[in-house]
Amino acid sequence: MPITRFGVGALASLATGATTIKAYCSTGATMVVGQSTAAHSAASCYLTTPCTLGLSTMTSATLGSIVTGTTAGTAITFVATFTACQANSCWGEWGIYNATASGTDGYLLNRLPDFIGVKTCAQSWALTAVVTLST
Amino acid sequence: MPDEPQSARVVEYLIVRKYDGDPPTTGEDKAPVETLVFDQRDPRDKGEGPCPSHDSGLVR
Repeated sequence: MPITRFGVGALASLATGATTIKAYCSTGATMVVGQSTAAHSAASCYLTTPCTLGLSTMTSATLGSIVTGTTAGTAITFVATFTACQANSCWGEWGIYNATASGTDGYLLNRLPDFIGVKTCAQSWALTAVVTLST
Repeated sequence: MPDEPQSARVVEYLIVRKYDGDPPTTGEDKAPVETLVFDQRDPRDKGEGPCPSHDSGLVR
């Protein structure tokens, strides 16, 4: 599945205590959406065609219990909402990005191309993404 | 047959709730006009398929 090389590098850095890498959490991350449904490339480091105003600050990022040692415990749930004025275009890709909505210094964790729909200013869309690091 | 070596991977699913106008505020009971689910998990990840040969590999 499409975890990016930058995402792998960021996770490895966080695992070893790097302080220069932002965590993928509600205080330092966004969900991002774009228009392209092009297949993921191993060389991709960001969305192919980001939507205008296509970043929304994460409202929560929670991790399941890891004490059981099962794969269910590694599910991370990310929640973000795109208001009526945000990202009004075709949605064909999304990802988790460890930068603030105004920042460009993050690393995209994953990119998943899939046609989601066409958002207009008449609606707000709330995203709940569950990402599981699995074996 | 020996167990297959494990490798890390990421699986995702996405729920999109579409609301007319603004999203619900905290405590507001506003139903979405449409809910979409994009499920990228395979049956094993949903707990519906054969169990993996190992658990997640976490060492306690």
